[in-house]
Parts: sequence; C-alpha cells; structure tokens
Amino acid sequence: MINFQEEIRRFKPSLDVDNIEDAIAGIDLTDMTDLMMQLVENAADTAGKKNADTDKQNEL
Amino acid sequence: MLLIQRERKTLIQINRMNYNTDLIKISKAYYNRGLERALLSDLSGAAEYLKKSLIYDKYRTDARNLLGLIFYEMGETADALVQWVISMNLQPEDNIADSYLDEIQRKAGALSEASSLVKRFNQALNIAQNGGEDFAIVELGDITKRKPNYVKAQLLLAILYMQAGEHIKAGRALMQILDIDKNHPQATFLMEEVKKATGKAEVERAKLENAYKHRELEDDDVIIPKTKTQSNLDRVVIYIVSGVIIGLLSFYILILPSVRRAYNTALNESIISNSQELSDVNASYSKLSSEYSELEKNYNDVSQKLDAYEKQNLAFTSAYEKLNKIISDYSAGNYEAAASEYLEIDRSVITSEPLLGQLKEVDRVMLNDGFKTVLELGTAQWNGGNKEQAEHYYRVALSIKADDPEAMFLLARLLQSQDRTTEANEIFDRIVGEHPDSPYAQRSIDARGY
Repeated sequence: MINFQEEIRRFKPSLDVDNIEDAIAGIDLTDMTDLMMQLVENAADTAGKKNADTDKQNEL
Repeated sequence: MLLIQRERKTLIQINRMNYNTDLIKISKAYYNRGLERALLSDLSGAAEYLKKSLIYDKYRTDARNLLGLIFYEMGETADALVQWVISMNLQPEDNIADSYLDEIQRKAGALSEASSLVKRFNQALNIAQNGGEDFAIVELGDITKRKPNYVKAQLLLAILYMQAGEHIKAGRALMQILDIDKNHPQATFLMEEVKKATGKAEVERAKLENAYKHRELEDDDVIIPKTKTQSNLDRVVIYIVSGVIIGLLSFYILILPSVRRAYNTALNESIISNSQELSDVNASYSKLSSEYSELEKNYNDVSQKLDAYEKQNLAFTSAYEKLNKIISDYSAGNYEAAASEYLEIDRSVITSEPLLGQLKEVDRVMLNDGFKTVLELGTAQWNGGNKEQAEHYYRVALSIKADDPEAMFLLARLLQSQDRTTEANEIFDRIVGEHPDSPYAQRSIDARGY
C-alpha cells in the first residue's frame, strides 16, 4: 500500500534559474583525487615530522 | 637530511601519480557506464553513474556535460545550467558546454519560461504538501502540458492522480515519464501499481503466459499443410456472377430503399426548413411593410402639420406686415392708404396674442384719431370747394365707421349740395331710422324737409 502523503512529502522543490549562482557557490567540488592528495600529503607530513624527531634525537 | 626530504617528495609525487591514474580510470569507467545507460534512454541510471564519475574526477568534462544534458532532458533546466557553468569554469577552452549555454540563451524567452514553470511547480508542490491536492492537480496539469518532459512534475501529478483514484490519468503521466526515462525507478514502481489497479497487469501476465506456454512439437506430431482447393474456371465465373447478382440485389433491396428514404427525409426536412424560412421572411416583410406604412403616415401627418405651420407663419407674417404698414402710413400722413389697408385686414387669420394686441392698437388709432382725421380732411376739402375729394374722404371715413351718424350726415349734406337729392335722402332716412336719439336725426329731418 503506497503512502501517498509520504511520497508527496519526499518531493523537493526544483532549482529555479534565478538561483543558479547561489547553487553553484554552494556546490562542494571536492573529488576523490582531492581527498587522496590530502591524505597522501597528511601522511607525508606525519612521516616527515617523525624523521625530524629521530634526527634530533640522534643529534642529541 | 636534504636527500631524505627530496626522496620523500619524490615518493609523494609517485603516490599522487599512481592514485591519480587509478581514480581517473575509475571515473572513466563510471562515465562509460553512464553513457551506455543514457544511450538506452535510462536517464536516471545514467545520472547515477555520471555523478559517481564526477566524484572520482571532477575534471571529467564529458561526464559533467552529459549530466547537464540529462537534467535538461528531464526538464530541470537550472540544474543543467549549473553543470554546464561549472564545466566551463573547470575547462574554459574547447568545451561543448559553451555551445549548450549559447543554445539556451539564443532561444528567446526559454529561460524565463523555464523559470516561470519551476516557480509554479514549487508553488504547486507546496500546496500539495499542505493538503491542496485538487488545486495542485490543476496547476501541475497545466505545467506538464506546457513542458511534457518535466519529469518531477509528471511524477507528482501521477501520485496525486493515484491518490485521487484516477489511475488512468496517473498512467498517462507515468507513460510520459517512461518515454523519457525508461527505467525511472519511481515511475516504474508506480506504473506497476497503476496496472494492478486498472487490471492491465493481469492482461499482460496472461499474454506473457500464452507467449511462453506454446507446446513444443513432439516426435509423434505431424504437421498437415493446408491444401488449396482447385476451382475450375466455370465455378469461378459462376461464383463471381452470383456474387455480383447477390451484391446488386442486396443493394436494391437493402441499401437503396434506406438511401432513398434518407434522401427523401433530408429533402422533406429541407423543404420544411425552406418553408419555415419563407414564412419567416414573409412575416418579416409584412412587419416591415406595416412599419413602413406607419412611418409614411407619420411622415404625412408631420408634413401636413409643417405645411399648416408654414401657412400660419406666412399669414402671421403677412398680417404683421400689414398692421405695421397701416401704422406707418398713418404716421406718414397717408390716411387714405392707411384707411384702405385697415379695411383690407383679414381678421380671421389674426389669432396670436401679439398680433391681436397690435390689431387692438390699430383699431384704437383708426377708429378714433384716424376716423376723425379723415372726416376733417373731407370737410376741409368741401370748404376748399373740392366736393369730389370731400365725398371720397367722407366715404373713407364711413368705411372705417360705417354707421357713424356724423359722417353719414356730412356725406348726405354734401350730396344734397350737389343736387343728388335721392342719394342724400336715403342717407337722411337711415340716420333718422338707425340713430333716432342722435342730434343728427333732427338735423337730418330739418335738412330733408319732411
């Protein structure tokens, strides 16, 4: 049995042509490549810090 | 130390390159799947794959442009524009999205029309979500009529129709969606419900069962070909002639009478109609003729009144002029003319108040001063020895006041002095008979010598 009220409630308004600029500004364009690069850079930074700490301890 | 850092950067770059290559491959794969689905008119499925493709590589312009096209095809113009604008930002050169944007902008009023329909849809949705289903149905009906590919509006309309129990209309809306997007999940599901409600699901299932339940041939089955009966030429001719005769008989017996009857009925109806029209025309003619007679009578009446008025006006003018002339001649000393004109006045035509007033004034002048003046003129002429002229004046005076005893006496005396005794005596007798109390009665008796 279809719950029509629920089906109608799920509908969302269409985007109006007048609101395109706001819609574009609100879109998050981050893709998997960006996320991966972020992860790689974070991982590299963490590794670099660890190496630096080891070097300092060796120097001491 | 420097060596280690350089090595680490190199490792990062290598990792980045490897990841990039893998992600691009995944993105491309999703794009290909999306394109495949789009070519099969499965727009919803295609959109899902294309969105995934863009999640892996936002620079995949083909995927973004195709996603825009799918939005556009489903009636979501603004969403399509968003994708193409982003596409142009990410790849400004050599991008087909540029031509799509140009194409839309070139269509006069396309954007304003799309915007107007979206606003109306959003309003109808809001009304539907707040219990105004009937109004929403009317509004969505008009929106989908103007933009049949507006999938979201068609879907909402279908749901509202189903809620109202109008499954046939809902089915029509869903068919429109499935024509655009063959595997639209909601539309497909709702269409199944509509088919169940209308009984079409049973019919389809029966057809499918029949199609797949043909019994396969077994080894013992024999296929007997249909044999053609050989007819000889005579039989064929007889069949043809019989057919023609039966056809003609059928025509004359069955068809022709009904055709004639229909023709006669139509003819009779036409005659009745024409008679009615003729009768109407005659009635109209009679009415117009009567109106014309009435108008003519009115015209004649008015014309006669106008003539009478003109005549009356002419008589009035003439009388007015004559009265003026009398006063004018009298004032100028032309008493004879004044008296003559006074005697010629037609009193029957003087009926209006102003003219009666003027006549009264003329009467007052002529019967008193005028009369006396003429009488004195006569006496002056007699005294001057001009008896003929004196007689004329006396007679003029008498014409003004025919029974004045003084004027009568003077005229009689003048006639007596001219030895016109008989004429004089007649006048003396009239004075005595008509004015016995007048002083001129005794004087007349004395003068006549009774």
